[in-house]
Amino acid sequence: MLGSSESSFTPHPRLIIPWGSDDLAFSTGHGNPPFNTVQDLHAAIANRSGIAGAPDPALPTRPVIVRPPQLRRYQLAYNTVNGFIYCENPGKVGGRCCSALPINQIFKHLTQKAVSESSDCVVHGYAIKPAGKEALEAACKEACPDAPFTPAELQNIVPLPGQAGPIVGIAPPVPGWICKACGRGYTTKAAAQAHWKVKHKDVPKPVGGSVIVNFFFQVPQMQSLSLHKNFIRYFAITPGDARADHAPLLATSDDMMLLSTIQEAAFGPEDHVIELDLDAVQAFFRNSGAVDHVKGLLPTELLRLVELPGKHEPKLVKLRRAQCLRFEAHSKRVFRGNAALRRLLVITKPYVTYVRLTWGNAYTLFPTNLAVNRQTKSSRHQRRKRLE
Amino acid sequence: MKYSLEELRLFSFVLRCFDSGQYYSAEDSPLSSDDEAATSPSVEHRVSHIKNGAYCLTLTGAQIQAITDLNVTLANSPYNSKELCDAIDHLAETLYMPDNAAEMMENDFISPVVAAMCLRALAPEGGFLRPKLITVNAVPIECGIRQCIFYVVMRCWRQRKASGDKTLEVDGDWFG
Repeated sequence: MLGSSESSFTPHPRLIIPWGSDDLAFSTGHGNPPFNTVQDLHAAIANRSGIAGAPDPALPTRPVIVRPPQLRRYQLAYNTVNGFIYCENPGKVGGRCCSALPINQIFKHLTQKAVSESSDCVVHGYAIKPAGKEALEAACKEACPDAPFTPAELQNIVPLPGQAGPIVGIAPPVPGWICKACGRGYTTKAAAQAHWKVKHKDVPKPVGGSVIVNFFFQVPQMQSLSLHKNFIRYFAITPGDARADHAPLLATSDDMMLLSTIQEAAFGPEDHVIELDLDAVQAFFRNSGAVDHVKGLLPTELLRLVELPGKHEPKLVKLRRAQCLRFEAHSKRVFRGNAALRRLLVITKPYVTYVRLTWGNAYTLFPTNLAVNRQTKSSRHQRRKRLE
Repeated sequence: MKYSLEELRLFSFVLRCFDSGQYYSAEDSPLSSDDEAATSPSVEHRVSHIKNGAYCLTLTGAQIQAITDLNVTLANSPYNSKELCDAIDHLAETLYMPDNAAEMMENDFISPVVAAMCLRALAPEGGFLRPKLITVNAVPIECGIRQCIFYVVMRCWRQRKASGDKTLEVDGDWFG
């Protein structure tokens, strides 16, 4: 691709994965009229970007990642572009498992009680009875009829012709070496040399140069759908076309401006984040009563009250262990919760709003709404007057 | 992990104050006693957060009950027991959804959550941290609050489903 002449090179329209496209909360059509659907937003982006005519039908009309209810129940997801199911349970790849799974291995993957220490897998600990295996597989098959059923079918999945950029959902790309004879990939030279020694020992060695140089392609990026020992099959991927045509890899400032404008049109103006100067910060702490609240007390003593439990506090150390378990369990369950309730949670947060009203004007990361600040100060002033 | 630890700081703060008796019950007068007010540098301001020269929390009856229950559970149950998890949940619920929210309009700091956030904003050498440094402490607490409310709503939802339409009037039209 890099070597093709400019005249024959037809730049592939850069695919824009709509933000929130895999989030059910945004797919309910509650947006403003011009952008009721993600497709409308795409069309708007394409038109405003100067891409002539109607939206390119090659652009994805459905999300890259979908989570049908049958899969979401087990924290599995389906890559619609390459057509495979992968695991989103906690794991070792950025906190997620990210292992692609053939349908007939899903039951084992979810229910296995132990894995070897060297494995990239972790125990997910689902309690599914063996009698439920067939039903599970049937449900997965029904939800994703094109997903590979056996490991052999999974191993047939490679990037589509012309597909640029990493395959979504699995472990990120790594550099490595791919055998010219059989296409197996390895992340280390030693493993590659060992492979050649075992599998291709009959091939005569060239006089000059090492095995690696003569019999392996060095690839800057390769991926494997699974990192399980027996299922590792690395394949080379083509870096994103933005890199190939020497365009910047990340979105340009123009792109971001455009996206911001369209987002603002769809969802209304975003709250501005203002870096407050030191005087304003001090004024806030005075007006909020925080300065008076800590007056007369030593900061070191106060900070000791909110520090983490020490060894001399066995009760709180126990609380720490319990809290970590509790938080982890709750966080897992939130992702399995009802989507409508999750949306409700985002909308209905009375106490959070109250805390934000009280403290929000001091936070640089929280949306700082000057109107709220004024209102808060004004209401404080009125309250103080009433008290006087 | 950091998120859970920030919430742990809040719980530890509440338990420490409770165990050392450094708290006022919300049913008691939240106003400062005259002798303390007279010795305070800012007489006109409420100093109900100082007791015997040490920092003092204001706790509601429900919060005191939740802390007592948690203390008992901590003493009697293993760290991975459901009882302990439920006790922490209950404490979180009473802290994040207190029944003295109306009084908080008069004084924010009677909320242990706001008080903890205030103390977390302190700089060790005195004064307050820069906002950028405070935000990272506040966000995990906000996450904990949302999570807690989420589970309260889920519980209401399950109760409503379990008892049909009978609870509709009690819950209001939350899920309509």
